[in-house]
Amino acid sequence: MALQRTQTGAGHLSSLLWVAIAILGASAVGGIALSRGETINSLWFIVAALCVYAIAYRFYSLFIASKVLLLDPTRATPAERLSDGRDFVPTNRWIVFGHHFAAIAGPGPLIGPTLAAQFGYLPGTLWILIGGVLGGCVQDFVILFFSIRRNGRSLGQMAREELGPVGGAAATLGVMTIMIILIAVLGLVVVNAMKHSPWATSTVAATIPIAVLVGVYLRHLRPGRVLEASVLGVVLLLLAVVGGGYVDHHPAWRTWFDYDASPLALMIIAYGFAAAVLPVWLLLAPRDYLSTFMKLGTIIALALAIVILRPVMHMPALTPFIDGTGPIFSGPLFPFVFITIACGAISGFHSLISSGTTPKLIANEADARMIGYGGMLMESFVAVMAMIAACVLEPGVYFAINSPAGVVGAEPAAAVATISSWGFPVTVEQMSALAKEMGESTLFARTGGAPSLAVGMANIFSSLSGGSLLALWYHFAIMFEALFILTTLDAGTRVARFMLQDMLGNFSPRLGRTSWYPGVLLTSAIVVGAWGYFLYQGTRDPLGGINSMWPLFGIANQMLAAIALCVATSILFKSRGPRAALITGLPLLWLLAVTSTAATLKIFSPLPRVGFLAHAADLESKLAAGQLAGPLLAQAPRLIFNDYLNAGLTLLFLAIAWVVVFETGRICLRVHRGAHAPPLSEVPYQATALGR
Amino acid sequence: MKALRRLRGWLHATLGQCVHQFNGGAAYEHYLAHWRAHHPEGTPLSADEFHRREQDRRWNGVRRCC
Repeated sequence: MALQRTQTGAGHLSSLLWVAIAILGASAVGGIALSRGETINSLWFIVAALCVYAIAYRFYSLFIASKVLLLDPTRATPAERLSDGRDFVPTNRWIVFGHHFAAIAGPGPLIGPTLAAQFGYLPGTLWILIGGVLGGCVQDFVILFFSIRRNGRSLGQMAREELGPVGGAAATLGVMTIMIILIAVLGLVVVNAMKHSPWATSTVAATIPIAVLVGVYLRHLRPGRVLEASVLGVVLLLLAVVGGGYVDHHPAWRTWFDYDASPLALMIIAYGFAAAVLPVWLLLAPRDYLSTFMKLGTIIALALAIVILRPVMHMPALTPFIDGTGPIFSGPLFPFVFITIACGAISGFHSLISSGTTPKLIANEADARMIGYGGMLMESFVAVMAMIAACVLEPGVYFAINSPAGVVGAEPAAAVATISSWGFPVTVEQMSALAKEMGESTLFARTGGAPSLAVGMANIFSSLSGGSLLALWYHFAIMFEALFILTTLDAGTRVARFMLQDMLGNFSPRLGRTSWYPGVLLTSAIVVGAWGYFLYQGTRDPLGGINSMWPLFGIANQMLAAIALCVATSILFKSRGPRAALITGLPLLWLLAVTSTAATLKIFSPLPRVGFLAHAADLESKLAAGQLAGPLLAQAPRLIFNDYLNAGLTLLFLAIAWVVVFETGRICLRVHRGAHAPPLSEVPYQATALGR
Repeated sequence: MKALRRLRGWLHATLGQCVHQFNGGAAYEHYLAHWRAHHPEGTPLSADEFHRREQDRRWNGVRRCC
């Protein structure tokens, strides 16, 4: 599949077109980077993103496909060779694209950019664009291709084959720990959206019986009719959003749904356990269908709304917080903006999806370019839209919503005074009016990114309905995010439980059997207990929990990306040589630099706001000197323990990443010297019988 | 007029295909085709049974991302 340069008129026209796109894209990026006015229009971001993606797909992905990976459209894929009508099914590329994108698109690209807006719109946007096309898209594409060539083997298996048992074990351990942190963080995001909000709580609670109803419909009434069931479910969900409004206004009913963060955390833990042990068709599967349809529909609607309305962004390009004193999470611009935005730029989790079911559905290797590279481009675009939605807020409002009480002060008057002193004016009246418009009692300290994203989305959508129905749009946005956060929570618990059963099955075969119910209950309890602990502690943390846990999640996720890139680099080194290995090797080096710096800072920084150990030492000295009082005095021992736990976890991630890198380097060196190294495990060539 | 009718026919066919596809039709057809090709004797599962089994089977491994 060589690049063909024709001398026909069409060829010249095509070249002119791409030059024009390149100029347009460069101007848009330049406009964004150099603009120093009060506001900038979001259209610049859309144009910049689309041009960058078009050029990256047309040139870079084609280069990778034809010169590095050597995609072979004449080769039979495992879907064709091992076709069994169930897992291995050659499927139309657009259907596979839809499945793959629905699987990788989670809440990550919505939350990360919203938090990273703390630094201003510029750093996050540049990382989403550059990190995406050079890092994340490459990772997804390359891992997908290598999995196809290995009969759809998973990342863990490929790591074991390419890097030896150490690599495989590291990958498995990494995946399990990421899952725990991820679920806890996402649970915290939902809890913060629901606390003291009867509307949000009742709507989210209603999604459970709705899912059960859809599940029963799909299981017993009309099996397999996914479209009908989803339409039914979506209609009921919209009614639930409206119904939440009635609950909110009813003086007696609203007390049933008005809870503080900690009781809500316990309810989510109970829900998570139930969802993990109940049959999959009752809760998990219907939730998954509903959240997929809602997610796709809402993302498309948001994209259209932004393109039509072209809202103005009020956040500046850079804020003073690039120095590390930010309220939402502490730490300087480098490395923390690269950690905070994981899923929108490069996310290790995607490599699990790319080596999961997707490679078993691909009918022709040539499809992998569109699905692997293109799917991640779309995810990157979702992240850009989240950045836009976060930045259309007034900066003062943005910080008022996202800053924890422990940083700005628990009382509204104190909070607005602190935030205004930073140079972002906001008033109590402004926030009260906004809260009333959104149908909430308060919007202060609703950390985690979901509420501020919902406010941004409500503002954008409500322009379509003439500035009214803000509260409905807001709670629709909250429901939409909560829906697929909770689906990730259920699915993630189940996966972690399978992996734990798999591991324990080596010691006690009974526990390894997924059909033995006591084993299911025990392992589910362990997994839920693990993330439940972090979730519950997060609700009691004065800094809001997101402050310490989101960087932990980001580091863990990109450690997994580093492992995936190590696998890819070693395969490329063995099969195509050192220069080909650069396309994954360079992003790998960057990731290592970023995650190592971030991990080191989070463990050893002397600033208590940044470093876990410094924070623990600070609390310990204050405790000993009797300077603590009230709730902080009671919580202090637990907070100190959590600091040590978080520091330990961070150290574990760092160690895992470097062990795998070391193994990779060792193998590449041996290959370079001509010594024996584990051979490539590609399946031999077989010609395809399918037409194109 | 003829063009309009043809457009309507095409829309009907494409949307109908989409609905059929997303309503689980294509998955069952794949299964039936595979069964006829590889298991000449024996009876394949009915549509309802097939979809129930699929649901149980599909939730192994990593399905959804962050």
